[in-house]
Amino acid sequence: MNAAEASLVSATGGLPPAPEFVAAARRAGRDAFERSGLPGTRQEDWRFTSLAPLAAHAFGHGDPAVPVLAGDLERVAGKPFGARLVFVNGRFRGELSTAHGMPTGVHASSLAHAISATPGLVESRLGRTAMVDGRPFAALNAAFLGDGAFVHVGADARGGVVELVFATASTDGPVACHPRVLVVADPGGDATLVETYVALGDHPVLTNAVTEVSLGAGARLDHYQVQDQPANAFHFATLTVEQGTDARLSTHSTALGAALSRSDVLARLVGEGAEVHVAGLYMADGKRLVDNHSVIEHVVPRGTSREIFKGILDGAARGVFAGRIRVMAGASKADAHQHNSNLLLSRDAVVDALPQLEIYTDDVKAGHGGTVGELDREALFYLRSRGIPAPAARGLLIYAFAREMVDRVAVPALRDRLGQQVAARLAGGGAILEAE
Amino acid sequence: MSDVIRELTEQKYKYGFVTDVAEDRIRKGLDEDIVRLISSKKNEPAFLLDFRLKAFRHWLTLEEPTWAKVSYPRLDYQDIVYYSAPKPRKKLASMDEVDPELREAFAKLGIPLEEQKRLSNVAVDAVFDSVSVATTFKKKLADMGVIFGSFSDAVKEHPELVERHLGSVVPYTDNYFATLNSAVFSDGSFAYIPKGVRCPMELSTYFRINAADTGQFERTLIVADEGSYVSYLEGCTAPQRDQNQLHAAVVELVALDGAEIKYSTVQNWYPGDAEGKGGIFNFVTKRGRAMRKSKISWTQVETGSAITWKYPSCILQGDDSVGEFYSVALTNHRQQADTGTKMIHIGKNTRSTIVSKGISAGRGQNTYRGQVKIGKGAEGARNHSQCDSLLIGDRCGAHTFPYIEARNPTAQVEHEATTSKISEEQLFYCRQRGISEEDAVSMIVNGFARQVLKELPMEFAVEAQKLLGMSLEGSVG
Repeated sequence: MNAAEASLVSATGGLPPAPEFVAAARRAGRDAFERSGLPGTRQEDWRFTSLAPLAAHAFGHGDPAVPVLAGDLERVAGKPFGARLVFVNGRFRGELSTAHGMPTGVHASSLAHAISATPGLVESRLGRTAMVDGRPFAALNAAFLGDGAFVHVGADARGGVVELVFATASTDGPVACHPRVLVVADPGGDATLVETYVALGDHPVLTNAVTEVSLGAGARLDHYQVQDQPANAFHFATLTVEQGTDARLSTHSTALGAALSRSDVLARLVGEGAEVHVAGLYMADGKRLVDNHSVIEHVVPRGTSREIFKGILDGAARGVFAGRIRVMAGASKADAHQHNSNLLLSRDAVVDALPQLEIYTDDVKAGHGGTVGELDREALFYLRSRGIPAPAARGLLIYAFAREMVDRVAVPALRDRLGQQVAARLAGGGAILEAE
Repeated sequence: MSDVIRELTEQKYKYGFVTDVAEDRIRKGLDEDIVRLISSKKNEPAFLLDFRLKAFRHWLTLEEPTWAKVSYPRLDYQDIVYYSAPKPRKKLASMDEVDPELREAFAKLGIPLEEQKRLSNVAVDAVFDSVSVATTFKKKLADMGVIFGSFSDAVKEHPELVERHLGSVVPYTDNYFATLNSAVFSDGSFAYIPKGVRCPMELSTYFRINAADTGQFERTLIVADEGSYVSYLEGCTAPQRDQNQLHAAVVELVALDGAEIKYSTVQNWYPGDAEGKGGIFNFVTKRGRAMRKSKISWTQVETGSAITWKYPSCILQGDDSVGEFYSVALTNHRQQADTGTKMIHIGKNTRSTIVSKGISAGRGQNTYRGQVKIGKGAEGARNHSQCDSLLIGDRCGAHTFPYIEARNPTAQVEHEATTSKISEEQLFYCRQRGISEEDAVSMIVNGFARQVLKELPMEFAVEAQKLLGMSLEGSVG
């Protein structure tokens, strides 16, 4: 291990004691990370995303008890729109959280609490889909296993929103934190989960989150991730999903910030008739890099997958999309589609798109499409000919491009918030929202 | 799965696998002495020996690549004979001596009788002697200043042209197999089209105007000078038998300002048996450099080989240059193909089109892997890629791995891919109308590949169409 890798795992020494199954998972994660180290650009999955900038920082373990004012948190994470669980540097903070509005049938708590309260249930699911071999960041997260969120969607849950806010807070130096979210939905359960990732403090933070979702037969989960980290942050997110028969997952991510952000989605349709929708919007400017990787695996018949990612790249930003749809032998009647569009707004912006299909059976419908281009010059001309100044016209067209993704959000309060966040990044943003 | 599809995909390669083995060989293995020996046997000038040695030394530092989606036993590069003198094969007295199955294949492909004789090494009468045909062609070409012949002859007769362009598109450091080829290449073709000349005929290895036996490490170099045009055909639809399992060819195209090169390939090497034993490993590096307002068009029909690893590419260096890639790749039994293209846009207003049609049957694995790279200065570049896969049977695989790398906002890049199968409904519809199932499969496959086949020179297209059917089917007439 090099210095950066060693500094990342060094803090595992200070972890609180945990039951044997957690301790074993930590050891397995640490071993796997020590074997693999941080990935390099010679590895296919990382060829466009260099982790060299990490080496410039020695990330310490953040103080989970660091004082945080509710007002400061709301400034970065917005007002709660229902039950909200807040985690600071990976630890649950009851005084910042509110259970008000917790949907019927949904039980959300800190993972640490669930480990002691319902160890059987947690043990049966934890680490089941977030394999650590060959996934350095999932391994690193496992090495720090202990807290995060546990969301149990009972069979009687009939919708309703739970919001998780993860704030990585730095006080006197760079901080890394590795939160884990475990979602278990019983057969027929239905809920909406929103994860928001933000940072407090001025130092660079590294957030390495892992979300594991396990959906029973016929369960439904609407899942959102909003990454709004400051421009000096590093953000890594792994989402692993296992879906039972006729289970339906819709996951939607919005990557707005961070110097370097990387998301990995790994969805396996292991129950017949399961359906997964993966959507993502990424915006970057300056010298920022945003990377979205996904693998959707159809293992059994009659699975449906839909994937759409849209990227907006300005300045000297770099966007990466690599989506793989894999239809295994025996996954007949699979129906898979994938799309990725990218808007390049400046001379120095860069996009790398790898939409991939891997098909091992003939009874499938599968396709993908991808586009890269600049704003439509004719549309710009049209708007300008109607007296809209060029910057505002550009803003309007970019907003329209992004709005398609924002509109997919089924939670009205979140949709409004995301619309504002997107508009705020564009010229004439306020006017765009007023005009709507 | 309908019986006919099962029957088709289980059908064996019918053309046997025998060749007269030339006995005049050098010892097995590869070291610097062997490289020097190859060069001296061919009386090569110093620059070429130097090129080979540099390549060989570089090759020693390389590792065999493993990124392609193909699996094969490790090759022992010391167990290969890197040079065998081309020896004339035993002449057969008449077509009656030719393997009846091969004759049948010729008939089905519709290859003319004289051509059949030439391909199967039957002595032909003076009028149709391929040598005299070749001579006539050569005279006509020479009158226009076109140089076309074997690579070895070009080295002797036009060393300055070879020296200037050899390695200019595929440098000796390019990749494992191209580097190996650079060190040990046996022979190949060379063509030079002078300024403003439109080559009056399709240049072709098919007519064997060039060397009779180019061996497993073939090297082709085509230079189209300013404003010239050439269409080049490589390979042929007739089944190709070869003793050597490893083939590592290199093709370099140079299209100078305003020139156009159309390069068509039909590859039908031995694919191995139904269980995947034997068959040719085809690791090919093909690339063209297109200067201002020039055009390079690759068309390929790949039905043979156990493993196909090739990515005919275009470096669109000059402003307004155009690159095209049309491909049909068919894998049956346990064949594996990892093939596609690279379109490297460097110049302004460069345009490229990619149409790839993959057909998988049996346990075949067919991968499209392609890269579209838009350089920072490629103002107004355009690319459109269309990659379709057709699956026949539930044990085969079809994979699509495009890499889109855009570095200029004014570029427009579009990629589309679909995967489908021959459905029972389609077959039923054809059967209702009195078309046999085998013919129906053949029709559907050809319809699927039509967009590519129409890019082939006409007589080739007809044969290629039949070849697709034959590669899949047991008894299509």
